[in-house]
Amino acid sequence: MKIGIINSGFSNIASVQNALNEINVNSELITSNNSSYDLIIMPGIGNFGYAMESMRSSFLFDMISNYHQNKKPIIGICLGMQLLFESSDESPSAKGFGFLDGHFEKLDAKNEKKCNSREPPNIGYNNVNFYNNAKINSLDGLDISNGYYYFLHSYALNSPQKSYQVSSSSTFNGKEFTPFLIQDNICAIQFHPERSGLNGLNLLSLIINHFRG
Amino acid sequence: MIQEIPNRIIARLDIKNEYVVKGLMMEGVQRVGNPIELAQKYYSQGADEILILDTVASLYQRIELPEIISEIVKKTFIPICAGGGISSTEDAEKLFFSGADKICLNTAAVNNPRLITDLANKFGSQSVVAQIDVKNYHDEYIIFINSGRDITKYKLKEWIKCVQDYGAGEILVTSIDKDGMSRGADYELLEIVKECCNVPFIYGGGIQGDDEIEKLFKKDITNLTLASSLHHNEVDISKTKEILSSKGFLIRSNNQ
Repeated sequence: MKIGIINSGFSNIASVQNALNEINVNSELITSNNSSYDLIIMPGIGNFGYAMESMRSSFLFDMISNYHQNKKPIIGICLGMQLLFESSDESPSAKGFGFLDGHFEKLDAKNEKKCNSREPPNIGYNNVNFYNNAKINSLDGLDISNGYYYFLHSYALNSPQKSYQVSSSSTFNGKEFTPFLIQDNICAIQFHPERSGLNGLNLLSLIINHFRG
Repeated sequence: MIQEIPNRIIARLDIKNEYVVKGLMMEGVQRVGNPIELAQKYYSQGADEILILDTVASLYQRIELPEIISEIVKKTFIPICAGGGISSTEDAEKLFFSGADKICLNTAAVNNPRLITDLANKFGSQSVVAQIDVKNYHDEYIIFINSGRDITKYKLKEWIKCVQDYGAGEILVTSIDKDGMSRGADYELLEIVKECCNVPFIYGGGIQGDDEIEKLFKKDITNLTLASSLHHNEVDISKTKEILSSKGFLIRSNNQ
């Protein structure tokens, strides 16, 4: 399986590649439109509008859109997840790829009256609960365990939808959001599996095996 | 509201000339091992984060950490916080590009607090940690720089306020008096830190073992750095976490 990583120009590309090496999965950085891949990974740190703008001004926008049209697997991590949806509070005038319906809202500010309330961004290990719906079983025994994964974000997809093939929920200041989902060819991950210890590495191998079919 | 973020145990590696070293009260350092091997060891034990600090960088204005970090992140899949000798956004950038998730500032922040703001604007405040080395000096907690060698004019309370105002996303407090002693944390100091910090804070210095970690967690001091106790194998993070987890503390374990 040939895996390409979209070069968003920041440090976590190396982290993602190191994590893939650790689980014995080869990958390469996508540098031009000439190569074709079986699966692409879109990591990303940064600003929603700026990231979409730079995608649109390069070959990446058309390339990623074509991959989606051809139902090829796409994994979006952190900002990479957000870009797969329609829009975000971060850049109200910018349009995401819109492969999935949904809008990212800014995380709620700290509420001084509540103990354990936190100021955004959501940083650190947070618990992820995977919905144990019947559809999970249809995904080739995709057996994901609940646990802590490493987050670093200020915007989130609120009100988790259980209707995705695989879905999950986490909370920030008590409010639920969607940290992980799989729907058809799309896998969207708000946290950083490449920074989540063994849990993260296990999850990455499960996802890749799932798409390998 | 229930606690959402688990308590953190952070492995601290002080680097001097490519080796992990450890001193007593930040002096008389001894070599304790290779940073890449130790990072891997503590990661495997279940450390939540690796803190890696170049202890002589700010004295000689040099940064050797990026090469070490780019090796560490090949086999260590938890957040890395790096510091020591950062004096510009370019220095910080090198650390981020080598794989650090956060950077921490001490001497440079005292010399030029604006640097905290510049870095927070560029990389996000969550990635900028203010490192505060503090010593009880004539009954007053005073900030020291250059790995505890030089005194500053700042008192603890005002300096915590200052770094928060400039945009630090997290504060790392080390008690120089307790550093490397494994004879107990500085509880008087911690009361002040708890009272003054609005952002998450991390404490290190003198933490003895499982019992004391539990005592600190009970006092809501939830983020701890360990160095000597790890290097001397007095604490094994996986065993410590098992014990604390069974006592009901919110802990991230390696296999959930």
